[in-house]
Amino acid sequence: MSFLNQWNYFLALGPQAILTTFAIGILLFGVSRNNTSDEHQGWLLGRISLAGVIAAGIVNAGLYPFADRLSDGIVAVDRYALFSNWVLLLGSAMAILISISYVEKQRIQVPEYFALLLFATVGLMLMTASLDLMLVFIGLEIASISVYALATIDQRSPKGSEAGLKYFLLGAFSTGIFLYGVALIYGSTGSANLTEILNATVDADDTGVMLITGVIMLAVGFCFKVGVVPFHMWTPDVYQGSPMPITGYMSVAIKAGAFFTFYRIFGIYLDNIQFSWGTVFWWLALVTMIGANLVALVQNNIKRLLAYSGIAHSGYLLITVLANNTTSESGLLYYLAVYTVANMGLFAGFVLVANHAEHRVEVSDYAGLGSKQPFIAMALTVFLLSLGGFPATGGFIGKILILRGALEDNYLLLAIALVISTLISYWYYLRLAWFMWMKEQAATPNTEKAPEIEIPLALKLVLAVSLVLIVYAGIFPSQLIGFIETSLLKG
Amino acid sequence: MLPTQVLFLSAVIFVVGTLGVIVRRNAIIMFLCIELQLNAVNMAFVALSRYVGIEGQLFVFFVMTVAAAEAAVGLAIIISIFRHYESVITDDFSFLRW
Repeated sequence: MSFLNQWNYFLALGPQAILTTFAIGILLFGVSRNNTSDEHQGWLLGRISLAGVIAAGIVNAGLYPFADRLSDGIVAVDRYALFSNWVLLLGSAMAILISISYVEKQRIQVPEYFALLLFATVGLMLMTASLDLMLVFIGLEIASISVYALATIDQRSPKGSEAGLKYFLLGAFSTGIFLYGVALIYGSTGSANLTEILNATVDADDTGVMLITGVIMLAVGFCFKVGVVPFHMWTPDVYQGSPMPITGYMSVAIKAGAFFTFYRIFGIYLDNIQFSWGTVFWWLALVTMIGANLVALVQNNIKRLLAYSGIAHSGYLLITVLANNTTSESGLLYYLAVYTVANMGLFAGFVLVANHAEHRVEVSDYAGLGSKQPFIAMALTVFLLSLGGFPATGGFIGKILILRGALEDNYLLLAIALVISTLISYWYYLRLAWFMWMKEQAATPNTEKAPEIEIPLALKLVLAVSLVLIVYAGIFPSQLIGFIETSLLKG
Repeated sequence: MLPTQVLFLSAVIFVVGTLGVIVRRNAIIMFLCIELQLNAVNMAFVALSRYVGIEGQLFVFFVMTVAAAEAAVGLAIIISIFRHYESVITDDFSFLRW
């Protein structure tokens, strides 16, 4: 299909348009009902927003025949964008399922919560599909502003407000840096459109200092958003203070969306001037992988642990941006898909153990989980192994692809660092698993008795689906890899 | 003024904003410095559009809109934290430290 008339352009943004419609509908529903004491509002609105996500997914599938790799407008409708839509929609669907019991139990303002969650997904989907730095900025801000509000949505929690403030200040700060980078790139190449930037940088000899400064500032802005080591200091605090499903959403969707865009901008459209950002990224990847994994070793709070693990994963993914060949691009897509599923499943388990609240978040609280709740403990163990990259889980294949991509482009040192830091990461992933299976719960009388865990249907679904997907992606990877190979930008 | 001078001014304002966020500890001042950064960006866009075309002036409106949205959410967050701690000095709240 050629995008010749306006209607077709509208179709191209179909998934985003549908999600926006649902989000606005939920907001209207929220203001039109005056009874705030409705117990089952969470369940109802959760189902509505889930329906929105599924509808967006159906439209996304319907866009496949029209996908076109060589679009030069503002919004790309290539299979890369559609694939990233899948990942983001999957992540937000899982976040919604995890949230349902949580918002009811914590008495969070339900309509705003789900509407903001959908808006954030819209922003991320817009960002991954955009071919113009200004649209990247707008998508990034739609997502970020929604998540600032979500982080602090529990008004009674001081920690939530603190996390929200930290996230807001550093997020807005990084936005400023990002935007100044956009301005400089616009000034030196004459356009903010990525295709035109690509054409303007073909002749790499006359690259001025303005362009290079702009590119570096753009990269710094992105590194703040995904939490790469020198710019990561907000991540653990914000993850710890935010409501648990939102932490999951942040660690998965924001990271995935930012990395999809990161790769599109740097791996494809700024590829000609890799000499300007390549060295910076090389060091960032190295420092991030080693540093984050080392700090994670001493973390006892599971949310902080997952924050540092997430930072480490950003380091692994930076390698794919650097070594941008087809193998590492499929590695990026595979890794992000698997990471999304595993991390969301992990947070589903955390929410269950915390009993839809914010207590019992220490590693020691997981002692004895294996004997009491074997299903949860088994699922959590599989997700942890997948994050660590254990064979027969999806994470293993992702890491192998990244390694192969790095070796194809002769990033030998980074590949070695990846292997070493993966080995380090086993310590803290397996430590949690060890607590679950090998340790009995401490029988001191003053520790609060662990409540009986009851698994709601929604969370059962999340755990089961993630488990199946992780194991499937680990044992039969060829189908997913084949699908990903048709979605590449390089090809 | 020539566009180069305006660009230089915008860079200075941007640096002032950046330093302000790093140095100051009052959440509202930090937020003001972020606004300063965004306005430096606007100035750069307008100055550069002299060279490269009208798009830059268009971008300014996007930036202003987003900055307004950010201000709304940011001030709400600052109010919410003031309710808990009766302070907006970031050193005063330290639940989350490693």
